[in-house]
Amino acid sequence: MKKATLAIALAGSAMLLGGVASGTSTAALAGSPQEMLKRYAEEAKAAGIMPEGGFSAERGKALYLADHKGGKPATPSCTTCHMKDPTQPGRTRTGKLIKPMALSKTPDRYSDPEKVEKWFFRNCRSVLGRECTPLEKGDFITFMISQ
Amino acid sequence: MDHDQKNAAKATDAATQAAAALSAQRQQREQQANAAGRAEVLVRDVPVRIFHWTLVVAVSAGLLTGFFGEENLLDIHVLAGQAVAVLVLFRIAWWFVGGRYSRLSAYPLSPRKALDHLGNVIRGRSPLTAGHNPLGAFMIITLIGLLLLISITGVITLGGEENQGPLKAFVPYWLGDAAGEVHEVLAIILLFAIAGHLGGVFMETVVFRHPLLRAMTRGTMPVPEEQAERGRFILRGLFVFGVVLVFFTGFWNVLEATPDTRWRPISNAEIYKANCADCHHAHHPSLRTADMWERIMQGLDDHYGEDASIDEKTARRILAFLQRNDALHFDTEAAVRLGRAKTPDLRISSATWWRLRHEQLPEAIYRTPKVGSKANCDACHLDAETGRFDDVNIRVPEEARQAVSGNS
Ligand code: HEC
Ligand code: HEC
Ligand code: HEC
Repeated sequence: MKKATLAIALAGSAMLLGGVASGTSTAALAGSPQEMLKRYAEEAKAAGIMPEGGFSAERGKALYLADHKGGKPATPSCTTCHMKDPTQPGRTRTGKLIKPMALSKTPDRYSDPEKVEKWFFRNCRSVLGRECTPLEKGDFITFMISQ
Repeated sequence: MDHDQKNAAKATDAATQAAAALSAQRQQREQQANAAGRAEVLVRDVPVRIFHWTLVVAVSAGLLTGFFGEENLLDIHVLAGQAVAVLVLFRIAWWFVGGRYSRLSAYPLSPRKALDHLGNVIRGRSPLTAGHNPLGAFMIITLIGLLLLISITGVITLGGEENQGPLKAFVPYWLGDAAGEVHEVLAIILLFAIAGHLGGVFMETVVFRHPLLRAMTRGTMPVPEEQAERGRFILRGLFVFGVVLVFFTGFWNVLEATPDTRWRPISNAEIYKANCADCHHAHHPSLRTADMWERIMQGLDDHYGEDASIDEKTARRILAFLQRNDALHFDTEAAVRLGRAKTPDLRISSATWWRLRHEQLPEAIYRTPKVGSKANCDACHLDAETGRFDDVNIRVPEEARQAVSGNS
């Protein structure tokens, strides 16, 4: 027990120090919400579905709050698990806490392309019954950046 | 001839009469002495008295935690059991090197004597003896024997069922499970034996007015001087107890430290935890068999009403990890009872044994915020991640209990 606590404390302080040292540069590293938006914009353009004004937080919000049909009956909306107010923590159907979706509350969101893609794939299929389009993904992230 | 015979008969008559008179006299003297408070002489050495009362405490603790304790009191139960085992081993040694009346050789262990004594008791007589009376001697052998067997079956159960203690590396789960049943039956028999023991002491002290309690506390009884114990045996008692204690803890610790192949920590779980711990806690791989894991991993796109799909490469690696550590690779209660139980919906929580073990919990408790789902074993099992599910690590969150009792 004591050894483990010590190890955690040491690891924690090391991470803190490292974080302080590299704090200014992390935003510039590959894998940021902006990078994700750039990628989705390219995909949307390639698919020819990118509208004039680019991504829209309004459309993202509508997607987030709406009740959808076509998905699995237990998960009609993104807000089945995430909160209507995206600055609040959500909960999985199995009771695990989900950190707030708003970027202001959970700054490390929308930065790991693999993770983002994995969850868009799963959650869109659960809620909408299909994968989300690059436009929808871009709108969604735009909305969350604004929160 | 005739005359001689008559004389002889007369003589024997006289002799028996004299003997009877003598014994009557002695009885009278004894009673008088009792009444007048004949000098009390030491008849119980000190170690045997200390042994007796510590045993009372240890056995009481063992019985209380065993019969009424929540599962998470197992640590205290085992501690009580260890104390009982050490005391009983000490007592057995003391049978051979203890004071005069503590020795097995001093016990009147013949069935004939026991029957005679029983006859006496029925006729309302029980002669005062410095040592044990024949029934008492049998009673003590029974109690010590029962406690020894209970200790042994307890250690086997602890090893087999809980993967703990000195036998954890040596006893398979099924044997531990069987020993557990025997352990329980023996404990019930012990209750009857204790009742018999207390009944006997009650008869002796209250009905026949033999001061047995005083003998077991102050160590004395009003018996003739020449029947006294030869000393208090304090140093010898300490020495014998020390030897027993050192051997016991030595054996326990050495055996407990032998490498255990029935349970081991799991390595390389990162990729599994990174992918299967977002919605519920990552179940220990030993909770399903290889073929069930394969089916779970194949059905992730419709996973209990949700899409939990994972890219194929990652899924293959997770499946390999799960199968390397599946229920057949572990010999724990959880792996044998839950992991190897086939369930049509592939849930662990659908296994009959799971439902039986959890039937005391109301269904609503799984929907409280603190628990969330049956799938979150770690809400109540602090060691769920290790796959051990030890009794001492069960803690149903208080908030969850209150939330449920408040609702209903
Ligand atoms: C069944 C519950 C559930 C539903 C419904 C759900 N999500 Fe999620 N979502 C989760 C969980 C669990 C996570 C991963 C936990 C975490 O990242 O904190 C997650 C993570 C995400 C992420 C990744 C965030 C990041 O950190 O990169 C995105 C994007 C996301 N969800 C979008 C959506 C969208 C869009 C919808 C509606 C179409 C939706 N979710 C509906 C449970 C859900
Ligand atoms: C998107 C959310 C999500 C993810 C990701 C997820 N699960 Fe589940 N899992 C669930 C839900 C929902 C249940 C059903 C729980 C209930 O009904 O209370 C469940 C139940 C289970 C159960 C049965 C639990 C029981 O009650 O006995 C197992 C086993 C399981 N999941 C394994 C996995 C594995 C292995 C992975 C990773 C490959 C995984 N899960 C990833 C949502 C998820
Ligand atoms: C709401 C709390 C709760 C949850 C969730 C829960 N358990 Fe339990 N579990 C208990 C309690 C309480 C006991 C003790 C029952 C008893 O006293 O016999 C127990 C007993 C057990 C035992 C027997 C332990 C022993 O040595 O006797 C096992 C194994 C077990 N649970 C496995 C699981 C698994 C696997 C899961 C998840 C699929 C799970 N439990 C989820 C509360 C819980």
